[in-house]
Amino acid sequence: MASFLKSTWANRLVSMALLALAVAAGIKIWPYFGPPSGAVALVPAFERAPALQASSPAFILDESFFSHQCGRLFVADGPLLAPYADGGCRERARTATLVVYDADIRLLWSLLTDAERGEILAMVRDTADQLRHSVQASLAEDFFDKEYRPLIRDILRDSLQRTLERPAVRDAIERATGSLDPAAMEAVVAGIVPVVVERIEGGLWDSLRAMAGNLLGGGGEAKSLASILSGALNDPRVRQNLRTSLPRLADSPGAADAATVIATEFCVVLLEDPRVPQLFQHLLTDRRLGAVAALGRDSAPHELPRKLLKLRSRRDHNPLSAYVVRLAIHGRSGQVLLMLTPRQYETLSASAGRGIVLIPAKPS
Amino acid sequence: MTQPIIAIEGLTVITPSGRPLVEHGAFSLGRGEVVLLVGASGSGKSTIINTLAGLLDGESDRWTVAGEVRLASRSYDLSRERCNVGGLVFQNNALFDDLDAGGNARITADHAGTLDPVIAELIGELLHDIDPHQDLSSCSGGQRQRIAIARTLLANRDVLLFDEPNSGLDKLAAQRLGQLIRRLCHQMGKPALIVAHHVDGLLPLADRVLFLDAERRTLRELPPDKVEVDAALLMLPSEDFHDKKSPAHVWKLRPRSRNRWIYFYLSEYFWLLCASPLLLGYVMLGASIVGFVSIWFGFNYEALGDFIRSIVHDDALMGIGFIEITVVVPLIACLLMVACNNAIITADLGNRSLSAQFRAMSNLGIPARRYITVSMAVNMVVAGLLLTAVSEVVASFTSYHVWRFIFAGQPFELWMENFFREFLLSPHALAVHSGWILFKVAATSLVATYTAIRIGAGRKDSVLSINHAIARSIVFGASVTLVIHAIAAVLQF
Repeated sequence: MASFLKSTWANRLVSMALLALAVAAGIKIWPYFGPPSGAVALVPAFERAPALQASSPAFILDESFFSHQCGRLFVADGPLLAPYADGGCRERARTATLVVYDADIRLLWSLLTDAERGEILAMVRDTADQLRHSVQASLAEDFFDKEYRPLIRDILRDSLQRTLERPAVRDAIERATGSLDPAAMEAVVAGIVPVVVERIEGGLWDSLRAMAGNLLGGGGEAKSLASILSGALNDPRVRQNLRTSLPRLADSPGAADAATVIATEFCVVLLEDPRVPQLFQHLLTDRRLGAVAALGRDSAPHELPRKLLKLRSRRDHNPLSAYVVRLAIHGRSGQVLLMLTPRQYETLSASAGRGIVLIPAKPS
Repeated sequence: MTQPIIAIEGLTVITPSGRPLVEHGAFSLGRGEVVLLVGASGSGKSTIINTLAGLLDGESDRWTVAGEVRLASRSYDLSRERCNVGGLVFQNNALFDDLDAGGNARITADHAGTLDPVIAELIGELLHDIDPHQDLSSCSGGQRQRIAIARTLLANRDVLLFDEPNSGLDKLAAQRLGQLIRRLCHQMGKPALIVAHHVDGLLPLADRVLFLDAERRTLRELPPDKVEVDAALLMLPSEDFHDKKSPAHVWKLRPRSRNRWIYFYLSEYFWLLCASPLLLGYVMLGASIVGFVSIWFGFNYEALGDFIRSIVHDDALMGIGFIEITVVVPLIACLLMVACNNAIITADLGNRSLSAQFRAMSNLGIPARRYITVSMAVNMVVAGLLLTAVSEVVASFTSYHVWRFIFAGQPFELWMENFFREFLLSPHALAVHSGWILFKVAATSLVATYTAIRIGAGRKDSVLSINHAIARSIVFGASVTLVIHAIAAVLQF
């Protein structure tokens, strides 16, 4: 036996066995060039169906609407469904309702169950709350008062002043008040602006905090901004000025245009200010303002994609979600063919629409 | 006979195939005696001295040895223990050709312990005409033999053993050698046992003659007389001893087409360079590792994060498949093949060169270099293509199963569509990339073969020069492979 194992023929037998193994492995993984056997020719169920794309993946859904890729829809002379041989796809292709949907984020949302949508909304709410509290806490910190507040105040005041000095603004105001007495217009501006600037300086930080709270879903501090504005309006100097000049200004046909120009120019002036990019740079890199970083591992920024992609575990793969997201990232449009049970179609069509229903073509 | 200093009794030696060479043999050697051991070729003379030199158990096959060796100080039971009472001078001297003449002596002296002043003096006389720094390749046959004898003296064993020391010597040279051995034995006071096939030059100087009777499997003593010895040898059935169980061989020599020899060498090198189990096995192992690593680390790369893995799955699998098939697997397959086959080719040619096979074939009118180098080149190209194809299959197969492990439950076609996507979508891409792979493999195989043949067929003076040539051949072959694949990859993409 030992001498046989060392013999030439034994070596050759081993070599041939290894080559046979390689051939067997090659047969196992050899790719299909062209549609495989078992392809099904289809036609749209309705005559005026939208156009189909040249190639789209086909999926089946399980009870929880989780997708499994199960074939591919080719469109050349007509739609041709090539179901996979694996996993009972061919059987499903014969019996399912075949519907083509546009592959977009709305489809992913439609595939989520009510419970999953509820989880996601609750997660978003919790995260917004966490974020709001973090931002508000940061704005109340001493370092913010000392390091950022004076700079922001200077930037806003200078920008407002430069805006009013810009020719476009002056022209807009002049056009708006062209029919009015220029002296009255000057009087209105000269009477109101200093008071408003003065008030803003005084209550700016309360305003910012209130705005942040409003943006992030809080409502409790909304009166702060209103109180600043009403304070300015209640100023006796402004009240007196407005009382005399407002009726004339309100009737001006160019008032709305002027307001737009002022707002636009204010933004332009703000962006031209070299201190603004520096301020943002500091705000974004200041570790003391790490509100987002403070969010927990289980909060929405981390968990939301997994929920939206309908992944059941950390290492799961949802081919339909992945396909849709990839199309979105690449900025392309696409379609998917879903092989649905009647009950699944009924459920899905309520939120995702009827889609393009395909039926097997009759043999010619 | 003088007072014996070594006695062997009950000596029995049976070959691994079960053929007894000697049974219950007995002899002794006296102080300063020179004893010839004669017998037919293949009868077991060399085996007996190998037994006394402790070299028999170095064989991989199992010999059966029994008997007792007795010296003044101790005795050996040959059935249980190795006996190395003899220092052996090998038939082909077996000098360490990576060392010079002095190195051969020094390395022995350093491992022999104390140096007997008598032996040191004898070696000085023995090697007086040889520069210790002289390279062995520049020594004459006689000088090499004396270095080998000196080296054995330095080992300072109880008995000097010589395995056909007069092989290839004329009668006068054999007599001189005999005189030398006799003088050494007398001066050292040690016996010598000499296996000799041709006894003419040695017989006058021998004290005794032992005859290994292959038919009776016994050792018996003959008078040191040429007539008696020749008569004993002539009584044997033939010059060479054959096992009676072995069938007689009939030689049929009928000239046929010379072309069969090119087919012979093509076939011989095919099984050596293309389809040896060792080569196939290790190339397949390398391909499996490539298939495993590319998928496992491609998808378990931490930076991908949990959900990104799913999003990038299709494109990542396409990228891995494309790079694996077009670049990594051909490179690994060629590297492994070249490393193995360049070593084989260089060793093969080096040994043929060292053992004068090419010169012999040339003398016989056989175009050996053409047969061998053409066969090697053809088989290297075939090996490159075959092994690359096998590697592609094995790497893809492994990739598929690793992918299946990571993405459990996903269908085969999902893997196939993406892994081979670049080729399935465009027949033109398939043709272009296949062409590049063929080019890389063929170019690598041919250039590596040229390198191996150039290095292997050069002049070889020693085993060491063959070893160095093998190392050079592997390094140059692997470097050429890397460069060709790198240039091709740049041009390909």
